[in-house]
Amino acid sequence: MPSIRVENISKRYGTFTALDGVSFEVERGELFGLIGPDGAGKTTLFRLLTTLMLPDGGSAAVDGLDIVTDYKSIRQIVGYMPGRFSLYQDLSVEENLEFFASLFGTTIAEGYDLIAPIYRQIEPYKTRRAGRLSGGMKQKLALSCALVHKPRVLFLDEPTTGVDAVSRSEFWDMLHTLRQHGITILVSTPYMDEASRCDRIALINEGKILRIDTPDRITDEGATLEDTFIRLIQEEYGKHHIG
Amino acid sequence: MNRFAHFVKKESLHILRDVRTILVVIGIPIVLTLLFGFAISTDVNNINVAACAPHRTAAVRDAVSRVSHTPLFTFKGYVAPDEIDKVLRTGTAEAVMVFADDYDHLVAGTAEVAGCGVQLVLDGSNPNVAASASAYLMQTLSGVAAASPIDTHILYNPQMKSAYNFVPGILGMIFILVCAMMTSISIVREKELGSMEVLLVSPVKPLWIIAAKMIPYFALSCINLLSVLLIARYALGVPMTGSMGALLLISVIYIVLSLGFGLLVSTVTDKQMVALIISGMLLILPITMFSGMLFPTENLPLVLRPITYIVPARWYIDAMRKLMIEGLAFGDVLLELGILAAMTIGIIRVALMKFNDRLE
Repeated sequence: MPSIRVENISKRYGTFTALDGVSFEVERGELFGLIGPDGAGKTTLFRLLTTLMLPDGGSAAVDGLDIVTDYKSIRQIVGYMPGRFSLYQDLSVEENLEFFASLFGTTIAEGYDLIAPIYRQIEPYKTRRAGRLSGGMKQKLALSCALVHKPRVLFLDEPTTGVDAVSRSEFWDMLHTLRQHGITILVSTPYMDEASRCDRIALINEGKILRIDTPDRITDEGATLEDTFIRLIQEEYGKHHIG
Repeated sequence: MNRFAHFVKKESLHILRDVRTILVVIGIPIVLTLLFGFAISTDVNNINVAACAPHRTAAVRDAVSRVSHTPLFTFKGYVAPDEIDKVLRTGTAEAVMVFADDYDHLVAGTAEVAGCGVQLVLDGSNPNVAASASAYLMQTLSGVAAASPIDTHILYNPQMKSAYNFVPGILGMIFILVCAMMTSISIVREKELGSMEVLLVSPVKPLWIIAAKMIPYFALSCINLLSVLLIARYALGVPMTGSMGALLLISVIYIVLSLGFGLLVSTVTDKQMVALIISGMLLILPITMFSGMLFPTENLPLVLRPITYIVPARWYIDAMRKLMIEGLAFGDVLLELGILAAMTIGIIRVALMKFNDRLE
């Protein structure tokens, strides 16, 4: 059973089609990247899979649970870090983490093993207010908060946007560590350099998936991933307008 | 229940860490009560009075001394008949008492022709002052002049202090301000912050999210209720002889109703600014206009009067006036209690129905 299964899913906002027949599968313990420009439909896909929205067509399941009918069970087993998510600025590092642990009926101590590699780096500042942390530290705290209840599937919507290059690189190292715990990770990013750190990626544009493969195989011979992506988008655009 | 306790703790921390807001929330009710109680007053005081009495007989002097000994009046002296217009125009006096030539006989009842003993000439440019001045002067002088056929007793608030009237109104407004505005902003802030998405994608029931947010504001409102009641009782001297149990019960119901309003506002918007405008403008305006807080609802045009029936503050303020000033018992505010309880249940039900556990 795949960890995430999406079948021909569609979502419209009024007349605007955000997702148009998207299908893909993510295996257990896989680090799967959604790569695409702003407005490609990445956030909508996350909101569908985290049961925050209902699809207009198609179906999807997370850990074998249907996103429409089993949404309450899904909410027990996933971790989610929304794109524009910021922590409670007026609460301390520890208070933030404690609160998110309590949401799932657990404690920091119980989830400590899993978050330790990340949390240990910010633990010396645990009494500091989240609003006074640096961007990279905020990122680590946010990831700790999304992980403290030991989710089976982790959804990260553009987690590195607005974070410096060093912190971004560290962040991806952490994701690789998590994969060893068997956690499935679906991550979106607009940065092409981060795509190469995923097991597999899906290139998404204007609500459609253009190609799904490993970063190496998706890239054209002698070109960068970015060039390949742009070529694919132009091809799609041409098809759409000529045909 | 541990989860819920954590949630309440987190909400309380948000409030406690925001010292400025907490000062405003606790301070505003106290300032408003003191302001309306002492500074802003519709009572008419220090009315300047002059007398026109060329003869100045014993009875005239007796009448004038009675007026000048009343704290409400300041006696400005005697004026000649041709000066009456001048003193009123210049504002030296708001009222002039013109004594009749045979005032002594009229008072003593020995006049040959029955007639008026005193004529009051008033500056009507402020109708409120003129009305009060003439009423007070008639009352003061009637003891001297021929006995008035009407004997007036004003009950519950014999000195007609406007503070008595304002305290229930202030409470009615404060709870909407603190409960509706603060809860709606605090829920909408989670939406703006993006944390609402995380809260929804967790096993926590929406009802818990709401209840946990309401509890700290409920506690704050109880502090406000207490501080306003204490000021009203001990600083303003509002009698509060009615049923204390009914007073507290109806206040608690009204607080919960206001919290429900806040929740309802938060379900229709996802911007803090919009929530502020809705709970500020849309709720405060009808409360001041249609609740009888500032002026009696009976003064409204007939077409607007039905609106007052759906304004919860109207029922709350009505009941509080009965309990605080008229000193009525529990059984006398059952209608208001019932209506407010029904409104509370209705609003919370609608709010819960509209509160979505998804984003759309």
